Amino acid sequence: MSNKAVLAELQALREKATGVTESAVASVDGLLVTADTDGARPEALAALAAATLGLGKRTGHEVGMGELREVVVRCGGGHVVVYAIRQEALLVVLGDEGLDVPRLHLDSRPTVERLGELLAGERTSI
Amino acid sequence: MGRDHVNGQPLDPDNPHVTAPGRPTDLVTALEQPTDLVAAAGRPTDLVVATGRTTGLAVAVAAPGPTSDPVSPALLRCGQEGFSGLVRAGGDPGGTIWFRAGAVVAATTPASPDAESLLLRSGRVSEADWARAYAAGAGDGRLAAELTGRGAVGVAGLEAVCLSAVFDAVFAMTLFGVDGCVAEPAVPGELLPPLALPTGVGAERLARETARRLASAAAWRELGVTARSRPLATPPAHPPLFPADEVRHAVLLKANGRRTARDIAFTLGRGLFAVMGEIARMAEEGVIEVSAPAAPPTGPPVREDAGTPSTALPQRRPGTSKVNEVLPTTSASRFSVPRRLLGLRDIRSPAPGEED
Repeated sequence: MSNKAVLAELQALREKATGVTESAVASVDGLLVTADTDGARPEALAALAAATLGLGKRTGHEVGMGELREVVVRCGGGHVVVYAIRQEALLVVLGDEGLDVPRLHLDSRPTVERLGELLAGERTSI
Repeated sequence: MGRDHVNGQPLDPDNPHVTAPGRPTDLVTALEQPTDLVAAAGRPTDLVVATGRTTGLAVAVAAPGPTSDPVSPALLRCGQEGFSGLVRAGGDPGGTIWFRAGAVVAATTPASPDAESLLLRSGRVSEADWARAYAAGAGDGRLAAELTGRGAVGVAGLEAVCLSAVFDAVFAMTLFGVDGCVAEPAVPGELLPPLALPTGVGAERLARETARRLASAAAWRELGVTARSRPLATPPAHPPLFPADEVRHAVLLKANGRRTARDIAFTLGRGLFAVMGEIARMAEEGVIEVSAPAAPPTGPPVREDAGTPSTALPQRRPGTSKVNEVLPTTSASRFSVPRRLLGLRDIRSPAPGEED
């Protein structure tokens, strides 16, 4: 895994998806891998995203809704979206209130796939 | 979408030529097919209207082209026909325009702040006022009445913001690029956006104003200023001397080489057209740089040299947090309960008969 390649993926997602402002990749236990952030604190974002993902998974299982697809948090000033990357990592994306969330889901799936390959060492660059 | 049409799939099983024009290829296909359900209206770039099903689905498309603006013909056609419903503008990011009796009452796009963002981000309306008005009136279309009735914003001020959001949205979605437009007639019970204009703006006026703004944007492009350019400026050392300079000052503060003009518009709660105009003026004066490449990432430094593979994700190691150093260490029997926790457990209602 190259952190430069992971960072390039995050920057490419920000370029592609209108409204994406920041993002980070972390392990599922909240340790930061790489961040493309502006104002957010990367380590705090990684830890909280891991907690958010865990809560989403547990809540989905508790109410019998099956496997988690993503966690979307909508606030007055924007969105926080957390995707699982395989079983070991996560991608957290921050976007402003103009973010088209359904479109982000489409744009981010290939990114999540490539990040999974990068983190598993199956790929070295985008 | 939520309706019975899927991109590229026939809408009418009896006529495979009638398709839902979602992608540009579908639009071109729909235009090129010699079908009696497609009634061409003038030049290829003009609006084309087809009736898809006996259920009343009308599809209005405009052919894409390198120099065509599909939105204005769609606006004019819908205005002339007194259309009620919505027009979806396909593109990246595209947008939606709502019509009532031929007048545009709302328009939204991810490319520009909507009325809610303009009101909240700019501080014209507080979050608390918005939340109360939304809870009281958004469900039955009375959000504007609740906002003005509670004194959160004036009637004229609210209408001005909503009107400017409509003009800005149509300009922004066109500037970013629209492949084609699809019209869907209104259905009973369909809700309008919460801050739709009560009377609407004429389609012809909207098209004329959009053309004027696009002409201005074309001139700004020569300076390197586009909706996707990332301006870079040195933050001003002093606050603005005059109120008129506040927008310029705010743009300078947000132009960090990372945010696009569109991002700055959202951050400030200002229209995209106004922000781009300010950036263009400052670019002309040389106080802002727009040709700069994207700013280097501001995240933490990479953990190893570029290209050097690491073998695994970061992992937590026992003892790394050093939490044990702050826990009580004396008489630390493994099963003893810390004193503070004992104290917390004592905070409970006494059981019957437990009182002294």
